[in-house]
Amino acid sequence: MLTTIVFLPIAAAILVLIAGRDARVARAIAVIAVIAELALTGILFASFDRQAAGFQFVERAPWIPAFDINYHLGVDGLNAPLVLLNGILGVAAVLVSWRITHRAREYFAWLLVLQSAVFGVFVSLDLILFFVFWELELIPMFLLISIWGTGRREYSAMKFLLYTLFGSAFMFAAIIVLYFSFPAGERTFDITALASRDLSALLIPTALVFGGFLVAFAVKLPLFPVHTWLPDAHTDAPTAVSVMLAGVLLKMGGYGLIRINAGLFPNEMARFALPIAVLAVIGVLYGAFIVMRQSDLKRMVAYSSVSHMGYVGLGLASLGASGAALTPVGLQGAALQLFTHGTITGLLFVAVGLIYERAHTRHIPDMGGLMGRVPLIGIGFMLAGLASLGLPSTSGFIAEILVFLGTFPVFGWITGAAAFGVVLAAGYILWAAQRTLFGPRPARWDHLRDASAVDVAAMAVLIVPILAVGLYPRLLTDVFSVGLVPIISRFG
Amino acid sequence: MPGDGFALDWVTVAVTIVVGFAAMGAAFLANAVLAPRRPSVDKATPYESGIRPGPLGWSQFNARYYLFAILFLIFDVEAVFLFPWALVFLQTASYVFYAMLLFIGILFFGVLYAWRKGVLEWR
Amino acid sequence: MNFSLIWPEVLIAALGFIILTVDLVLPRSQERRRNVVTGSIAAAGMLAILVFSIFYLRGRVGVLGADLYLADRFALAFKFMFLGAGIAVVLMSIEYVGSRIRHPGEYYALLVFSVLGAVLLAGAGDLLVAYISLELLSFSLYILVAMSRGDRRSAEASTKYILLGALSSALMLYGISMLYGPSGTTSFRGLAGFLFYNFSPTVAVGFALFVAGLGFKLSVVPFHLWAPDVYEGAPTPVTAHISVLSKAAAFALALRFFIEAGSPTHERWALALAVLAALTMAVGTLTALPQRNIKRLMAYSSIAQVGFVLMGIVANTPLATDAVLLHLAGYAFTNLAAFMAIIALEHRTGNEEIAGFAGLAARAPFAAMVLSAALFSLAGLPFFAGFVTKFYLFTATADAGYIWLVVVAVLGSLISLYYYIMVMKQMYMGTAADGKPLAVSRLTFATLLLLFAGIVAIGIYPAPFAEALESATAVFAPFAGR
Repeated sequence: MLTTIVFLPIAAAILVLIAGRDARVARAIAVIAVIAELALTGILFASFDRQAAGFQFVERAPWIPAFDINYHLGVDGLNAPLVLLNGILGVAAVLVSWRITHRAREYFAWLLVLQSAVFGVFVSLDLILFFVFWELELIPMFLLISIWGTGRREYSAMKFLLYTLFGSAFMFAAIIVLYFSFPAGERTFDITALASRDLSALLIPTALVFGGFLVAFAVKLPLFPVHTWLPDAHTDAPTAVSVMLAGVLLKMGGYGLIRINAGLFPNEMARFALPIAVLAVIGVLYGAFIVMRQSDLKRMVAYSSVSHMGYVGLGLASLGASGAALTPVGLQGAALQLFTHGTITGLLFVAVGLIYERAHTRHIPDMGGLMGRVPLIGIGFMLAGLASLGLPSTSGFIAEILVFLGTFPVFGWITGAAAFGVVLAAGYILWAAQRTLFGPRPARWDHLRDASAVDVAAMAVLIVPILAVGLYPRLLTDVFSVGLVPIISRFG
Repeated sequence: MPGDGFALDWVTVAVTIVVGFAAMGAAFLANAVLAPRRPSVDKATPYESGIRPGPLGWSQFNARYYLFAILFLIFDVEAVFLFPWALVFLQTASYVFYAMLLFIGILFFGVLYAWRKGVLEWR
Repeated sequence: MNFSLIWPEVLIAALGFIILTVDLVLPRSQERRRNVVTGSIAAAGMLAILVFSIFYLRGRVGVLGADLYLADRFALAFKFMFLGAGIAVVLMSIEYVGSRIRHPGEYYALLVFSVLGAVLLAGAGDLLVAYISLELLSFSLYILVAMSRGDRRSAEASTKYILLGALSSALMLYGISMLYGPSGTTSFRGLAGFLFYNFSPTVAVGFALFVAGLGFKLSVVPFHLWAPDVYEGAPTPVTAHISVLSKAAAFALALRFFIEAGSPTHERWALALAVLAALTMAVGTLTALPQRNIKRLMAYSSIAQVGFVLMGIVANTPLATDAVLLHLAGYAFTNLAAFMAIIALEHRTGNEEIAGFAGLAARAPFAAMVLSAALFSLAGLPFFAGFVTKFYLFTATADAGYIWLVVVAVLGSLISLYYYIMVMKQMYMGTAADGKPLAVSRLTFATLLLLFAGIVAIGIYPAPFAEALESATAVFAPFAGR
């Protein structure tokens, strides 16, 4: 099951390369593949046993026996929702690429490879396998941004690549140290096995190993101050890639932080909770303030991602700092934020992308009154915006309230500062909506056409989970709690 | 010299190198100091084999000489191998006989090849 | 002497003569036909010998003479690698030779003879057999390098190669004589015990000279200066041949020599060799950075790769030896794929400058993709052979305690990614002056696909390769200190 989920997109990508000389054929194959993926991940999520602890759908086969590296896949409550998220965003990404004609065959192939790589990261339970998928994601991202992007695309692609490589070098070093810290025979790369080991005495201080992983994941999340690649990459990437980038690639960082940093190193997580929380809250506020100053719609959404992903760091830190008064709520909020932010920001990027596709500009001061011409896109944008600022009944509200509930008892002041970020979010979202969608409309926008059925479908795939989780959060929180129990139990 | 240390061995390597260079330098020095110097035109010419070289040191000669020289060398070397073989092949195993046959065969093939390719024709 | 053990070698030699004879018989006027016929004979013949060896040598192992020539699993593994690489080089040559090289028959015959030299080298258990095999390999390569029609760089490269090669051979022979003098033996296994008890200065100098000679063939820093010029000047298929076959062959010799003769005295030479490995990685990587010519870039990158492999020899553990073999196998696929793609692109554009690769992704997408995959593999990115093999190598070296060496290697790999990406950047993001699609012949396409499959196969599922190679390195199990 998991193998199929991980490799179906790659198989489809090969098919696209072989058969997709015609752009429409390539697109059709891609659409079928991602819908099949959505169905598969949906089935996986639905058949996931919410009572049972531990990993389900486990697949395990020796891969490189000389170093006991295994092809080990599995889902628990933590990554099952993220797998579903990737399935959802894959559909949205292909649908918003409907009108791609420039080298369409390669485009769809790389997009599918990207989806495969992200699936691989989410379900790998072996550190080397995890790392392999982590790196695999770079190639399609680099090419997608640099070939199909806009603006300073090559610069942005290179910046993205260098930042990620920089981070993953640290991660790789940490993985190797982790492996060699045990006497021959006990060495392992298995995440589940390592989770039950005592990692306090390694070759080098455990804090450094922890730091190695932290750097890699913080770059990806992104955590202030290693976030600077994100606005560039987002701004210059094609819409679908922005959707994937914001929707799932950033989540790889958050997932890694929870699965590896919190899951393997609870003591270090506790020790460094405060610095992480401080960096996270700086990210929340700094990101939010920068958003205010943006005149580029896409750059605005990108910085709002920086701001929102700060909550993930905050929720994570709260768990480490809580000590005896264990508050798993914060971590739940962080995990939920991974999912909700994926759908919400995905939707924001879809809406922005659709506007850009029509207006050929993202310059906010040039816009105005678009709601009258493109009401469907406008509604999508408003829904995403409102969810993003945490309006109750949307999923954004649930995630943020959980984070605050979890962090307030441990970091009173920091939480207070972070909560101010919500106020800022309300400010910039509504202000941006007011400047683009409402108000007087310049005459040059009179010819704009509203979203086609395909565009609406792309938005709908994302709106459904936003509202569903907002109205009935147990859909996800139950699953997340099951998955987080073993991680939380190691704290305190 | 068993059992002496690793470092010592490599020190001796270094010493060998130094001594080697020193010996070379000494030879040059001795030459410069001791050799009598009575320069003449003939001595200054490149090849002191009795014949004055042609108009220029760089003058070219036909590359074909080179090919013939190589062919000659091949058969010269063949003879070098043949003489000792001729002395012992009666006392040794039969494969020694066939080995030499094979060797001559390969050389013969070489001559044929050169002939066929027109190397032996002086054009 | 059980000569039945060397039937494959005899057949390879015979194949070379057959090619020469066919070339002699075919009329001189039909150059095109001579090229295709002799090339096909070379490829088909080597394939036939490869298949024959698989069946014939199953379970047939043994020693010729007093450790003169070893027909064991280790030699067999390299035999497959060399024949396979030889076939690939012939396939990538056929088009190239047709337009740029005057004597096709001699070209293919020399290729076959160089494969023979490499095969013999892998089986050599004696310094003199090793020396003769190495000379057979080198002489074939000297001529091959010079065969580019009307290209002065080719002649210059060959001259340099001959002069430095002769120097290195002399060094090596001198070293052998200094090893033979005190010990009275030239067999690796015989030397092992002698070295252990009598590591006298003479022997140390002999050892060092032999290693220096070997270092020339491997282009280990500081004996690497010939490599860039020769790589640049040689006909590109020959460059591929040198970078894969002669490297792997010299490593086969180095592995056997250091393990069979050097294991007991490991701690005496390990540090010196480790320093050479580190230097080689560092210099290879850093000097590759400013290169503008793709072949020079590949030269420096292959120097860096030599440094990586040397680490495995320094480590001298069974795991490291496996890793060296696996890396060489992966490297063979990778480099052959890279050169195949470079030939396909360069041959049609006539441009070896990296800047000339601009926009090739749009003109020849498949070749560009394979080249990118090969470069990623060289850099050691996951999903390609390079990652797995480097992982094996680095882990094995770290396991043996040379952490600092691994740190240098990892840094080198990271830096190397930069110049590989620069090539890809040109191909994918540059715009070509001439946007017409480049036709890639069916033969090239099929070979590229095969090599690409090899890179990905090792990268994704290395276990069967590793197991096969483990059985090859099992022959070294009895050597002391391991």
